[in-house]
Amino acid sequence: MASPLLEIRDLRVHFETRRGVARAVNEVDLTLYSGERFGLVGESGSGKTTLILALLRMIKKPGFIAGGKALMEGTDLLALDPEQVRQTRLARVAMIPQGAMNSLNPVLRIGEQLALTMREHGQPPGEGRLAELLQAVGLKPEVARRYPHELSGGMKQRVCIAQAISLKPRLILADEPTSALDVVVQRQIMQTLRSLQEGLDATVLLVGHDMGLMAQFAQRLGIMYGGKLVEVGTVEQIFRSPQHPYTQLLIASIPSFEKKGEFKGIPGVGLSLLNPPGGCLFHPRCPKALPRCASQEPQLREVAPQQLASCLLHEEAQA
Amino acid sequence: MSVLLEARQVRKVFHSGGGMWGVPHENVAVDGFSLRLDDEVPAFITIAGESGSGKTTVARLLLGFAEPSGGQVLYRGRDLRELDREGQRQFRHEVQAIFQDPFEVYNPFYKVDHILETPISRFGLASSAAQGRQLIVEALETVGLRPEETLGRYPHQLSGGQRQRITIARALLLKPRLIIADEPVSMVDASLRATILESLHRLHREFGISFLYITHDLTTAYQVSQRLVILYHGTVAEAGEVEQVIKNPKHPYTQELIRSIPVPDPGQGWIEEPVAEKEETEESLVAAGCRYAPRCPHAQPRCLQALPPLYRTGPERAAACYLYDSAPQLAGEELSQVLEQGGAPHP
Repeated sequence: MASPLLEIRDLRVHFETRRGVARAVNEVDLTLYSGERFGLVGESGSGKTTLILALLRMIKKPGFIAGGKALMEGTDLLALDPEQVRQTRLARVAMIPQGAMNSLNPVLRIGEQLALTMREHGQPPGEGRLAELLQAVGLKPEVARRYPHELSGGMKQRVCIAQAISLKPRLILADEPTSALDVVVQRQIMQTLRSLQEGLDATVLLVGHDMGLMAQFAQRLGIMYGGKLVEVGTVEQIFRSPQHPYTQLLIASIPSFEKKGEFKGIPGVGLSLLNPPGGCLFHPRCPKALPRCASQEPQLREVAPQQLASCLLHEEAQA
Repeated sequence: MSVLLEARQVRKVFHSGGGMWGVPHENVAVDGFSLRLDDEVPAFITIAGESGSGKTTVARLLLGFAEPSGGQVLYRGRDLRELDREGQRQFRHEVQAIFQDPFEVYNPFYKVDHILETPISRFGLASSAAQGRQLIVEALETVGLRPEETLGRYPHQLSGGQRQRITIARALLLKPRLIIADEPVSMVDASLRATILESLHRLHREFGISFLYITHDLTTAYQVSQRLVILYHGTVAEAGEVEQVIKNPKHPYTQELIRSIPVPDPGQGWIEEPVAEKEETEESLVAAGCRYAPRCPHAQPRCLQALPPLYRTGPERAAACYLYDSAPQLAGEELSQVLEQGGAPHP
């Protein structure tokens, strides 16, 4: 396997609220490799978006990074000063936002917006570089002279991708970048993103909850529940032999054209981060829970080559 | 047969511009839409389309929240616009709505009990407070909520899935004949999606309630419905029996949609295979022809000249595409027949 690009160690992001501390990201350890496409999955409130915001140092009060490291090519992203953060964003770590519609400046022509951020980083683009960038994301060079409102949703998302790759970052973070687009356009955009990622040998961290998209785009997956990473594995391992009971239920709940009139929800309600259960966070909903799951916290451990899961059932088997 | 709700060749046009700035602009949100819901035979019909396809406008027209610019919406044979007070009350009783956002329909200052008690008092469903309470308890249990964990709480104390199930319970209290559900699960996590769809499906089967399910998600549409309508930019691209439409789509748009759904099974070539259709390069509006033509890999010159009519591609289905012009055309409101249970008699 390729060399590690980003090593997240014991990352914690907390939110201080009147009713107590919510551990939105809790003791997460994760290594991303150079040139891989990694998908991070979880329901809303599981901490997946908070995790990528922490990497970009965009956590806002009442949230804060309560501990941990994110080592990328020798530097800890979480220890950078504001000026270093500014230099790192876009140039080394870039983000493709969820709503391309709202992240472009409506009064700037596309070419001007792309040039603006590149100039900020001391790399003002010539007309040739702009045309090249637009072509790389499948747009005509003329688009540089258009305003955002003149473009379709898919085209705007392509502009956001052009912006994200403009300084050839090593790590691209993407938060459900296609959730507002129809599936045909989604597929075209994800194909573009993949070929760019391969061309740059960049790492993509895709966050979302569309398991179909994850199965088709990612090579490895991480599953989050209640701020914790509960399982990590290759996309084949997660879909064909999920080891954590939550992952198993999640995979079983996916609707498909094979299962008509068949519904498999995950029992119980999502957990409250302000009042999490003791032991394993998933145990109140887990059909396989053992009595000690209520008191003992499972650790993420290897259950197969390259596959990690945090479940006492596996600790049991290994003991 | 007795018809509960019917849309006849409904059209909705929104006007924009024409003020101090810009030219007046007509935006046809829905055109030529027909649908008939029988009172006795409960139906489960999905209206699917991307954002901007007009699917929510169809729901709003059928609910009487928007007035058609052309055509008619009839409730028990009477135009929605001409209903008297009693007629309106009956309509609001028999036809219920569930919306996408289970957060917006709540007043944060009232306990959730309020949203359940209102229809009981408004429609006089119970003769005593105890009976009203009993109705609420039954409705909550039907959608899989424990009344003791739900009642007496404020909306912010409940999860999105619980809130959405309360709105379903509310709709259920009224024992409606029809529930129009606009994207009821798109804001709910995958793990709860199945549970909520299951409640809807059960209400249909056990209580004989008809459903109109509005969604962009063909997979869940396939799971719950019997009939499917695919809208594209306000017009019906394809419609018919769900199994046939999904497994053997006829319209190039439906074909590409189904091919593009990322299946939750790794290694299917989704990311490698080229997409057949052209990407829309600009926000282009086709004035006269097929709205899909600019993206369609099979487009011919005539597609740009006139909107293709619906052709009957099978006894229980139709597609609006010139590729099927050898099949008989569907006239006017015949789209409703395709969407009826058992389909239309084969000509």
